[in-house]
Amino acid sequence: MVGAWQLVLGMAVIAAITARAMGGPAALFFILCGGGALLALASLSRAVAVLWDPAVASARPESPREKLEHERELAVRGLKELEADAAAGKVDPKDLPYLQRSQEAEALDLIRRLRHDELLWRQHARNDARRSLGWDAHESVFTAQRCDEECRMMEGDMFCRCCGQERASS
Amino acid sequence: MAIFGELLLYVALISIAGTAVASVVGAIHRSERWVESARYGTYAVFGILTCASMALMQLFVAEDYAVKYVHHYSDRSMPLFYKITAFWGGQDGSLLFWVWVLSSWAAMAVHQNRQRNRAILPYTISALMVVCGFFVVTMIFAANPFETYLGTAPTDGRGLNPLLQNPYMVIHPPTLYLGYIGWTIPYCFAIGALAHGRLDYEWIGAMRRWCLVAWILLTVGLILGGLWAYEELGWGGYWAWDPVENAAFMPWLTGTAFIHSIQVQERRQMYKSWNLLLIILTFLLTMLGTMMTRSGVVQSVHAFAQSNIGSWFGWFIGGALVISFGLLLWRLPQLRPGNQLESVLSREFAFLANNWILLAAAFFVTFATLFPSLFKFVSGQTVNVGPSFYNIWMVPIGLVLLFLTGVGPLLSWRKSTGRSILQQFAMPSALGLVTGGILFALNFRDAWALTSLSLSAFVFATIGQEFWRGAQHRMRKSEESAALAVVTLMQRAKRRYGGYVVHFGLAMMFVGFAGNAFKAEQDVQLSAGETHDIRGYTLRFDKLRFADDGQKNMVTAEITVLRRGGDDVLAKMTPAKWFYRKPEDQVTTEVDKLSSLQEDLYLVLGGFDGQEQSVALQVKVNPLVNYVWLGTAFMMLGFGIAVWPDRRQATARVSVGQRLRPAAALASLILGVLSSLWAFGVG
Repeated sequence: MVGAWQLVLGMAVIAAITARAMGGPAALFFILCGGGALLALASLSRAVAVLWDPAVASARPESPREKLEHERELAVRGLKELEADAAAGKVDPKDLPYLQRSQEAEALDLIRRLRHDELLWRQHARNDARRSLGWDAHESVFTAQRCDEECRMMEGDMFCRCCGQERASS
Repeated sequence: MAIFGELLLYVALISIAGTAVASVVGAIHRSERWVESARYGTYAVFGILTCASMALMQLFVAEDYAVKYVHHYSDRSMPLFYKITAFWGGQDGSLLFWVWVLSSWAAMAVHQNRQRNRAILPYTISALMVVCGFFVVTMIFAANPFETYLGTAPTDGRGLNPLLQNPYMVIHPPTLYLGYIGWTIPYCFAIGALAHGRLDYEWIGAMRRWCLVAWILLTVGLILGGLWAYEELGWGGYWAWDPVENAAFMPWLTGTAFIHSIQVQERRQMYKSWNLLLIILTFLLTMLGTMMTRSGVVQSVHAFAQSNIGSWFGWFIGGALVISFGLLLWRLPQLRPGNQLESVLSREFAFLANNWILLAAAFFVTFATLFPSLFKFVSGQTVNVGPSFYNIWMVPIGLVLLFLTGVGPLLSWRKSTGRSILQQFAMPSALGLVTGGILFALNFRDAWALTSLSLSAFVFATIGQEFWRGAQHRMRKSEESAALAVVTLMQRAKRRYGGYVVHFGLAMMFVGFAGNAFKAEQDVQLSAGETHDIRGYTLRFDKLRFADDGQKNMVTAEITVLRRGGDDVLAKMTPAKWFYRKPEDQVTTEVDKLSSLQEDLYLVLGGFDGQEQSVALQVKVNPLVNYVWLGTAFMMLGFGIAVWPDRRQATARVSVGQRLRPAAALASLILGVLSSLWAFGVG
């Protein structure tokens, strides 16, 4: 942040000198031109440096999470729209339960898949942490998918807080 | 400065090539490092083109007439404001402006997706760089804005076309360009999705807002062009099916089809290949439109001069067409719909019908616009396609679209039953028919205007009904007041209700179009003190006034407008003619109008005799014309509602500190500059 302030101050001083010599508009163009040049130089140097940056992973991990989240958002929006359409009398009351059921099933399935993805991620993170601390990473990624004993549920929970299984199935 | 600017174009080209290579390597090797490098390369390209654009603006302000482009489009007498905007007043500069804006949008889109859509991002960056590269190459080899005279530099410029020295013309071209350019972003995301093979809704999610932004900018650009024609050209209309107007209207039609159709893909996983086809067509039509205005292919009052860049565009469009459709055909087996159309009485089908009609309209306008050129190429003979030919087809097409605007929201997704249709359509249909009946009884006999007004009433009623039923549901559920329920509705379902407000604006514009059927027009000769009556107005010509502001001679007729049959002075009107010194013999007609929601009284000074103190006036009364502009304002409002970020999402994405950081940086920059200017006594 200190660097940015110095930069702004420096540019302002040079702009003022330019403005005195060539007029206000010239100073404005100088500032914008200077800003563009700085952006270009900083970006180009970063574009080159990033190729050797060990902090940036060389391979791109593929995750279905983004897609699932988007699909869940659409499914929830679909449910809301169905509710609004039903309230406005656009949906036949006879069709409503079927439409609602299929839409809810889709949303629940997506939530379940997201939950599963999150559990896997947590387990990976736990294993990585254990490995880096030198502990035994004998726990399998998939062992924590279900609780050994009864699932920990609180009132209103649809899924187990421990293993993520749906209330009815656990 | 000109050499510096030219050098920057070469540096930009090298950066573009480097960025494209990095993104391709990143895509092939799935390397995060190369993709990151390409991302930073995109920012660098924007930075370099910003420098080049500022350099050109500085050349205008510094009056460096050694630069051909500056010499052709400015002169010393021009106000500073028009000197700066002359940057996009001609062909070469407008290409630089184009690629500069495209690079800024590319940088924003890439930055926005730096954490998302990583799989398609490298392909998208490649496509963006190819488009940027094309424009920079065209500038370097065919239309260089920094080209200088080899011999002695002229001491003054030729000046900008006076017709372009108008506030609307300052905003209209950049708005239109922004709309054109905006469609490049979704197109490149579509190409990215096609190249990678991830064809679900990721690419649609990534570019949905960009589509809406491009669409509203193109809409506003078109309307501003109409407003400019109405106020500056002095023929009393705002749309004449001029090839340049059509060039911008063609992508608007396919773009409108696209923003409707993607909703079906998001909601029902249908029309996947159709959507890709539409966005490819929209992009190609923006390029075709650009080519048409720059190549001399079509003759228009505001096309750029004939030049050799038409062939460059031709090759680029051909290449983009082959690659885009090639990718589409290659991925066709993966583009099977997730669902089937269950009923023709569904919103999906209404959207499809709307798409067919919009696409048919786009093909018709494109064909009719290019027909005179094609005919001349084939037969060597000249043929004109006038507004009446367009109106024969486009008026009914427009009315069918207006009807569908009302029908779409009344149908539900998947299927609607006869009972629900009856329930939904009863009130709006009744209101439409009653409106038509009343207007007929009031002796309105123009069939198209009558249909347009009745259908507009139908659309207003459907929108009103949607709001009312939604609000009623909320009032029952949450015990809210009616006003609060409407506000909550718009907050909870911004896209839906924002869309309704856009439809409301569109229906309002059709009210304005219908007014054309009832306009009055007269040519009159008046001497000082004489009066003339038209509709509810009496016009009295008082005197002629002559003035000179150094740039032009101005002849102004002073007219007093009185209420007909009374002495109430409604307004003093001053239509004028301006005779510019540069470019020589350029005359502009400065219209004056008395506006109300009901109509415009529109005066044009056709001719004058200074010695006799007499004038020839074209007097027009344009009923309902202001509903066209008002409708556009509603469309902008609806767009604002639809894209307004969801509060929860916005909070989740960025913290308050993060949100304030750009504003703090900007404020500190402005503060620093202002304080320094003040300290040095520059003001």
